[in-house]
Amino acid sequence: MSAAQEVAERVSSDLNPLVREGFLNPYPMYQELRALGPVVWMQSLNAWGVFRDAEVRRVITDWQSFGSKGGGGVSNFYFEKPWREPSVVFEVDPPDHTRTRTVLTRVLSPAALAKLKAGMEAEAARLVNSLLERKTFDAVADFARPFPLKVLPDAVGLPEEGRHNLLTYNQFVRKGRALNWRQNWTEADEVEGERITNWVADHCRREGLKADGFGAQIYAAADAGEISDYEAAMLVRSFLTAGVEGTINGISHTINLLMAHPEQWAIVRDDPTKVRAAFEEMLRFDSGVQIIARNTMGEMDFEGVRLGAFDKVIAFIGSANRDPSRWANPDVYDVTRNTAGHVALGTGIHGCVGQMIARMEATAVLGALVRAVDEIRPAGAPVYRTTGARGLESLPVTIRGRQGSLAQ
Amino acid sequence: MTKVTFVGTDGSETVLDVPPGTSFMQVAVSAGLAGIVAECGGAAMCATCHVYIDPADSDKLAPISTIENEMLAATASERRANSRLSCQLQGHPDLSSIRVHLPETQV
Repeated sequence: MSAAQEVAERVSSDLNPLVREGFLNPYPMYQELRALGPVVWMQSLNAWGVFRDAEVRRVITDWQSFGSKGGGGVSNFYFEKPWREPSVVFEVDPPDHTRTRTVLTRVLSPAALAKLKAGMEAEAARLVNSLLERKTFDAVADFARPFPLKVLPDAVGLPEEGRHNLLTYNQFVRKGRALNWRQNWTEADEVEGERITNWVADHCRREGLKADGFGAQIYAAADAGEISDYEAAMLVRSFLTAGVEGTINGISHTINLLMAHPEQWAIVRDDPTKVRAAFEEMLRFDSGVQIIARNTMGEMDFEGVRLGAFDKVIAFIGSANRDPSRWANPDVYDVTRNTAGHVALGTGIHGCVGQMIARMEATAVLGALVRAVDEIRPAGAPVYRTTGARGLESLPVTIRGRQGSLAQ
Repeated sequence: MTKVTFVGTDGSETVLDVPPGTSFMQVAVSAGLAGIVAECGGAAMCATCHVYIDPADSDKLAPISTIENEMLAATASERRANSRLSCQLQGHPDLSSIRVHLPETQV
């Protein structure tokens, strides 16, 4: 191969899977984009996109080549000021990342979480028993949302009041990661953004956190000299950012998919331990978060294409999870599938640190519901969000309790 | 390529080729090897890809990172001096072969 051939012409596309019909159903676009090549210049996003399992995996794990300081969204912090102070664990590279991640790994390890299991299951049973009486309810507002909003902030050690602010904060973080976010910032955003920033900062302080929660454990690591007090506060902020919304989306969408696939529901109904597999396959099949972005650390060749210094590179994880070169029948929702190796929660050093508590929450609350009911069907049209995080705004359902059952 | 021999608790052996930069766990999962669960898919968060390095091969690997060390405290089977998480072990051109033993249980 001659030198001239080594660096191929870039392939570009004007498709945008992040807006309009792409947002609601990106999968046909992903199929087209996977076929275009290993890396595609996305004209509408001013960034590179990768869509196949192999390249997505490389971009999200190879932190030496694809760094995180430029932000995990489409907005490129090298060229655009971020809305908030960058995260000390998500928007940072080793060695700083290793220090903060080590602390979170300890706080959120399966061994540490085991203590929370019984309390979570009791809370799940309480919630499901109240819904058995109502029979018809909204699986988002009455089920998927209240559970994580109760158990996760409890575990962090936050006070009861004002927890809906966590969802507002999430909306702002997401808007602040969009391309040219500042151009779309209204005066109302300015006011509400400042209010929510202050609320979050207040709730990250050591004084407001209960003595035995994740927050206190993080400050204990600061006291031991592992991290600074600033980093401790910022790690508590990470719980407020990433702690609840994804779990809410995942729990409600699992119910949605099980209702849409009666043969899959039958498997889970007959063996409620399969709820964990149903949740996991939901992540592979259609996760709320569809992208993880990085930036090049300098000019580089990638899959035969020359990338510029600090270019944004977007890994479309939702596409990788449907890549037919990695998954058999990728467009089929199948709770019996071996889902190990999906990248819905990222992987490698920046893989979702809260994923085990999210699985624990989903298993507790979905398990309690499935053990108590033998039928669940739509009671109205689901409402999907058309912007922000992909997911359901409302999911009306009717349940029929199993003979004489109360959740336990 | 690194030739990794996974030894089951019943003594059965599975030999897999691990390319440079790819984790032992990833290749094991792709091959459908029973005994590696890897629920978190390689984020060092679940401790269900635990292996014991064969004593004869103990000096062949990079040392345990602080993050892996935290997670090894959460393994379902007993942690021993030769315990590692296979998601943190990668194929390497200088590593031609290695034997690892699967634990009794991962969950």
